[in-house]
Amino acid sequence: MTDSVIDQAVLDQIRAIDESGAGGLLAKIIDMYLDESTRMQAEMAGAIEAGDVAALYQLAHTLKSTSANVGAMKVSDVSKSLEDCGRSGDLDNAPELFRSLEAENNRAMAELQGIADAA
Amino acid sequence: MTTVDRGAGRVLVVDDDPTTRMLARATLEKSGLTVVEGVNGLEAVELAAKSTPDLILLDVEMPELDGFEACTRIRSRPEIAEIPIIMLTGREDDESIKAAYDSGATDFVAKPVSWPLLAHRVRYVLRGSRESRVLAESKNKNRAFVKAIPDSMIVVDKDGVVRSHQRGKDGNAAFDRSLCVGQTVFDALPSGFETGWRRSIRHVLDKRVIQQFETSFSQGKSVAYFDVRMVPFTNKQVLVIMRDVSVQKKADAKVRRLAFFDTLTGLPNRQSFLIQLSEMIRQCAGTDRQFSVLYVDLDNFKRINDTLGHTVGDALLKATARRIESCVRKQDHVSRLAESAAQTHVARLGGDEFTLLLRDVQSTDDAEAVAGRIASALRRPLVHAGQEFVITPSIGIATFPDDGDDIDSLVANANMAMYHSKEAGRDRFTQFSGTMSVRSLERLDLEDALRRAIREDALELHYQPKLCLRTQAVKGVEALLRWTHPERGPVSPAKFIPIAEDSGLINDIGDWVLNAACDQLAAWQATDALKSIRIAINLSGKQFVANDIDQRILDAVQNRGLDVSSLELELTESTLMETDENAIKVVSRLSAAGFELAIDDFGTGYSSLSYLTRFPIRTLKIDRSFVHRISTDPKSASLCTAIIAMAHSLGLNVVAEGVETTEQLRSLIERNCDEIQGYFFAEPMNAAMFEDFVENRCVCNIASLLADPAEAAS
Repeated sequence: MTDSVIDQAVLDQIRAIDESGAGGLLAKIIDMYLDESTRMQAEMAGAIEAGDVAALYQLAHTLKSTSANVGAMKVSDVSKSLEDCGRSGDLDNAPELFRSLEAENNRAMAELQGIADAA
Repeated sequence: MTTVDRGAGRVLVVDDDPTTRMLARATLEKSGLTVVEGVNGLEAVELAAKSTPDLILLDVEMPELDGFEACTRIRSRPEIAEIPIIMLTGREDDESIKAAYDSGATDFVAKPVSWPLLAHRVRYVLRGSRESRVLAESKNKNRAFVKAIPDSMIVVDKDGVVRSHQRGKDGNAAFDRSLCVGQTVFDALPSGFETGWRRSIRHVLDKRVIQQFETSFSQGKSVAYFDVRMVPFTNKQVLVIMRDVSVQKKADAKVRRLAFFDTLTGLPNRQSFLIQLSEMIRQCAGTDRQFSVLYVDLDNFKRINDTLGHTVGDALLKATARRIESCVRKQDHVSRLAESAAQTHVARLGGDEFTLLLRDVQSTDDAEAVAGRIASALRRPLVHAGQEFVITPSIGIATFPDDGDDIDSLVANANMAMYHSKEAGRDRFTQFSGTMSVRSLERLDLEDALRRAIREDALELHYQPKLCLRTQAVKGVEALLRWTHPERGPVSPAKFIPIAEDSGLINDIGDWVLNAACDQLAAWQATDALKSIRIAINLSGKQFVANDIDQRILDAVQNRGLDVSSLELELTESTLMETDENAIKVVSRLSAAGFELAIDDFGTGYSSLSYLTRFPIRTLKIDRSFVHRISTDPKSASLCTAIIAMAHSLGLNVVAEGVETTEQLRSLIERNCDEIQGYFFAEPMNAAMFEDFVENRCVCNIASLLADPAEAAS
């Protein structure tokens, strides 16, 4: 899969934890990610609109590591940029970065959904 | 599959990100660990306390309370402060890593987390923590051990410089100043120890041996004793262990004091005296050196104890001891100051007996000089509580080797010479001489035995009935003292009473008789047959020396609820003649108290009859020598007639003693004698026999006595 946005090494680590796959760990993590990232994305949009830099920082910081946990490294990278916006309080680039986050996450979620379905 | 000990495998995972928590849980559970989860810093602190995890995995960036602050709080609570904490920090975030360590984190793992690596890291940290816990426990144990040891422990280097120290519970006594790391141990000790200690420390380091010695530090008036041990510690350091042994030292000294010294006077005791004596004999045997034993006995001291109590007695003994000592020390001023102290050994053997050992006497004159000094020193009155006492000594001197060359003979001969001083009138000294006879020894022996008999209650009273010739009834008895020597058998009062009088034992004997007679009176008066019986006891003139004899007699009677008239007191004629004004007062007081007095052995005293009017006398007892001859010797018969007539004219009662024959009885009846006493009628008998005697013939038929003497005497 050449156009993959998911770091397969990360997923392999998760698979390695749940060797037999009996625990369905990968699918659970992906499910959790889909829910969490959707929720955080929505809250982030509200925070940007409201100019709540602290909330933006907190949400972006969490999404940064949550996405990294499922190998969605691009989502993690954009989250990091948004986290920086939140920390610095400069929201000028935030709307654009957020749009980029949405796009990246849509791609990541689609791919992850496929992986979860296949698992 | 790797697992760790489940018992030490609970991990608290705190992260606000559920995916991280889930992956951490999966990873750790796979390693056999159990997982507790928290979502923020506040929960981290709360769960750390509640679920007591073995390790905490703590995210940094969390709502409510961040990881650093949570870590700090956990570290500040002693009960959970030791739990290892791994912080999850941002990748390449040096600042976070530093902050993590600053807040007390054990380790960190960068996010995103490499899960396989995390499992290893957790196991590693857990193992390290277990090991450090074991180490900490053993350190704590060691610390507790060391703390429990009361000794001071100081680690010093070869120059005595303190590297570390723990001052023991009682180290204060040793150190003038505080021990300081970096300064020498000598700086803290009193001066004068540096050279010796330095040498010992070097010796321990060079030879790798333990040095042990005892040392004492004086602080003001008190002295502290320390047991010091120096032990090789490292190649370059010595451990000095100091234990305060002052208490043991004092206890040892006390034991010694109790064993060898008299607690009252502080003088060496009998044991000590015997050791010294034996040592002197050993030193002088086979040389031409002589030494003297002085045996000092205080005259009449027992009376002081008896009449004034032991408190006064003890105080006077102490004062006397000091006087005796001063007599010896006086010699110091005259001559060899230091030597003399060791030359004379003064000891208290017990009671009122003291001994002196005079070393290296040139002649018996030397010993006499000391004895004379003691006698004159003691002649000066002692003042106690405003009262003056004169306590004179009787001293005996025996000199080695002429008067004895072993312990027993020297002590016995000095003692015998002392008794000669007593017999010669007390308050003097006597040199032992070979002519001091076997009789003296016998006397001493008897005196000892008598003393023991009094102590062991081995005396007995017998009672000789007196028969009233008019009523033919027994109204009274004379109490007679009987003593059976354990080896010699019965000893006559004629033999032992003089000894008792000389030795002062007569007072003890007198008291014993008084109490025994009163006990018997009380017992008899409780019966029907003997409720009006009277007992007469004999008083020795020596008993009047103590002017409280009347009070003692009165107490004895009244304490038992007896009537004073039931106890009759007999004094010999010679006693009355010898007594002084004081005795007359005592006798008068006794009479005034209601006691009836009888004159014993009347007719033998070659005395003026005028005293019969001076003393309040109730009864005359005609001496047995006249009674014996009454029917054979006209002069004795006349004398009896005269005595009875005279007595009756003075209103006195007359008792004839020693009546042994029908003729004697008949003669006495003819002369109107009131009462008779003697073998013819009844011999002295013990209490039980007397009770039988009374039961069998409470009224005596004089006619039958006269008619059939053989039967009556049987």
